[in-house]
Amino acid sequence: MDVQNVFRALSDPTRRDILMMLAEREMSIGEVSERFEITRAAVKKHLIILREGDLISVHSRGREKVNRLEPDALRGAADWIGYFSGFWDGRLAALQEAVTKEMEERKDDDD
Amino acid sequence: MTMTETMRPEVAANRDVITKTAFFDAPREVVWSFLTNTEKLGRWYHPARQDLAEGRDYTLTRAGDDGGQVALIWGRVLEMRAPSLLRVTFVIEEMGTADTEVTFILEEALGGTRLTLLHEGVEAAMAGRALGLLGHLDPGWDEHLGSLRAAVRSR
Repeated sequence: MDVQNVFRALSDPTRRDILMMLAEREMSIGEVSERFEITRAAVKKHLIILREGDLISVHSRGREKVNRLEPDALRGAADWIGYFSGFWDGRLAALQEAVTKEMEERKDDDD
Repeated sequence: MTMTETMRPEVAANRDVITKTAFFDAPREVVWSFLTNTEKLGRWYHPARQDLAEGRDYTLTRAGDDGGQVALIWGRVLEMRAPSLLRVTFVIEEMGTADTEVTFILEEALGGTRLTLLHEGVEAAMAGRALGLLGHLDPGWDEHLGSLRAAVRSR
């Protein structure tokens, strides 16, 4: 599970509303769209992002495709620590690089 | 100044904390400026709307699709003791209104600076968000959530 994709999926209020609707029952794009004042294309985009976060899955119901909530991605609370740990490793490496550059520039100015 | 003196006891006892250390071949004042100055923050992280100041809100921004500045990370500066300690709340868009807390401790070490970073409350914030969503689920999910709720309560 890519935590970044879960973050992205959860960041939008419309997507959170969609998740709550899907918590009640699985729905097609059309059924989801009826409940929002946004275009079907916009709903489709939200559903794709939710799928990328593994928060929903798509299944066939007759000729229709329906979206189903996958609560497992929400339960992976232990992974958040790992995500931010990696985040800070990256930031601190960038900070070290920036400070080193600054010190080199100061030394050059002194010469 | 040592870590044990600067670390508050409730932090030391908290399991929901990420700890990182980094060494800099530079005086503490230089590293400090990179944590608090708007332009220097932009060189390793994201630029701030204005220099950080104790008791004030801060916002780190990125360039948006329309060319404007979009808020990326924000919070409040809780404590500033130049050049040794900076403590801020840290809210990320994805976490809604849940606050986490980040502390930067700068100590003199080996002619340079040792930075210790503490990031507290990530798990509680994210579990809280997950519970908020899952709370809307059918009651049948309750048993699956028991362990997560227990984990949150135990903090």
